[in-house]
Amino acid sequence: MLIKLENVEKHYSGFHLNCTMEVPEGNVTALIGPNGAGKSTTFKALLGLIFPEAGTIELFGKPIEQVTEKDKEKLGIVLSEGFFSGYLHVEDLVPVLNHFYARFQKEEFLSRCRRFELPMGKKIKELSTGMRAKLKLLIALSHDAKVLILDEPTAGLDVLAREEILDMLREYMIPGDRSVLISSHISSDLEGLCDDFYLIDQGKIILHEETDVLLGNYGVLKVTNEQYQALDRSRILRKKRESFGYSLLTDQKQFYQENAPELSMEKGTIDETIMMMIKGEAV
Amino acid sequence: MKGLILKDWKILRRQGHHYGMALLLICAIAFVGSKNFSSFITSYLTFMITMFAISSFNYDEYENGMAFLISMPSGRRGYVSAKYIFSILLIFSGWLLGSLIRMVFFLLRFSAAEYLEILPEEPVYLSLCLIYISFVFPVLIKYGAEKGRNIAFMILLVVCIGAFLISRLKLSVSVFAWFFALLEKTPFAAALFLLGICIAVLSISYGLSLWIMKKKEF
Repeated sequence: MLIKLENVEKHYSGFHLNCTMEVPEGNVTALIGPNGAGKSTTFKALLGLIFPEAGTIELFGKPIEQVTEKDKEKLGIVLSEGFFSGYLHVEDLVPVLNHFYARFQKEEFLSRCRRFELPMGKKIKELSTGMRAKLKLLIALSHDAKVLILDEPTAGLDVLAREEILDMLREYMIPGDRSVLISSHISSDLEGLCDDFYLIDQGKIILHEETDVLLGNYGVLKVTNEQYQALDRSRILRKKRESFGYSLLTDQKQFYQENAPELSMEKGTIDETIMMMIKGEAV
Repeated sequence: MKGLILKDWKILRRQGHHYGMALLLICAIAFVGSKNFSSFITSYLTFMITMFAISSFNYDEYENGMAFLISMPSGRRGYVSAKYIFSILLIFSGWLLGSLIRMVFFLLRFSAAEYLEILPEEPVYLSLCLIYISFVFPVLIKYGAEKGRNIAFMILLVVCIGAFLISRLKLSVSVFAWFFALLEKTPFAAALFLLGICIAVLSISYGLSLWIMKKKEF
């Protein structure tokens, strides 16, 4: 397991993180959830930026306290907030990264910068949001990292820029022995990229599912009050009151399609699942 | 760690035009000013460079950059070490440049003998700046660049007021009296004494900064 968090706890005033998750080799795992759910806190704990009060964190199979400088060179990082000083020019980063990482691939980095038309002679603070996001990811990809930890790499980007970034990540995963842990609240981005995802809300993981299973087996039933009363609710995960009756989230869509074909069924998406898991109530 | 030092160097170079202007100003003052005013050359240049070393924390904190830098392979210890190494080298270079300009000023306008008279006071400026960062760096790491800068300014203010009171009230402070006597009689021994003080204070400061950084959350 390249990344493992077990019962990691952190208390802040009005917030309590209690997180258990893992990222195996060859996987793209997403951590999704609404703003303030605990995504960034989880990332900070994983990167050693905060100190959990309980639980264990492992990176590359080692407890985080034993992770060496050499091990950290195998990490590529994008933080939602936090980057090199905006007063540095893009071209200044080349020698800096060369000294940070023994496996820095200078030519590859420069060629990618040209491919994405990053202006080398410009200050970082003068770059557009999209340019800066691309630069952050290019740096994370620049030193043959084995694991990428990406906190909101597509935040604030338009559809085209987001797609370019997702393409870069698909390209990165081609060798098969790498892993990505990515957080985003733009879940539609993740449907075509991630193998599995963890849904976090109020500091707790409330769902872990493979993306294929979610897209194939999850669905949202739209039922009236009468239909709800008559329904076999044993395979319903969450219900939500609506003006017409109820929305019901199930992880066994096929069961209801076969046994109650008259009911309206919407395909499960990550967005729909998040909404139902967070806003809905247990049946 | 080298990457962090290089990063600070690159920022300094990008902001270099400000320092270039100040250097020109100093040179101009050097060649029109009086002999007594010449101490300004070394002291101002060393202090100006010291202020850059301090402001490098501000550049790191730009848009929460500190957390990103700490996530880099060199980690917390590497960050603190890089800051001290970069700052000591930078302050030493600024002081050396100031001392050289002052030497040229004396040799061109006065005499070598007169230069030798003021030479012993030169290491004092370097020592004061190194001791100053020793006090300021742990504060900057603990409270962040913005709040820490105000505290650093307060420290400087207290030192200045203290120095003013000592000179104004002609307070007899035995340590100072002893040191200035040493400075006059055996400048080399005084320089070594200062070096020892600087190394001791910087070492304590480095240890303290590291301890603070290891406990800090981002």
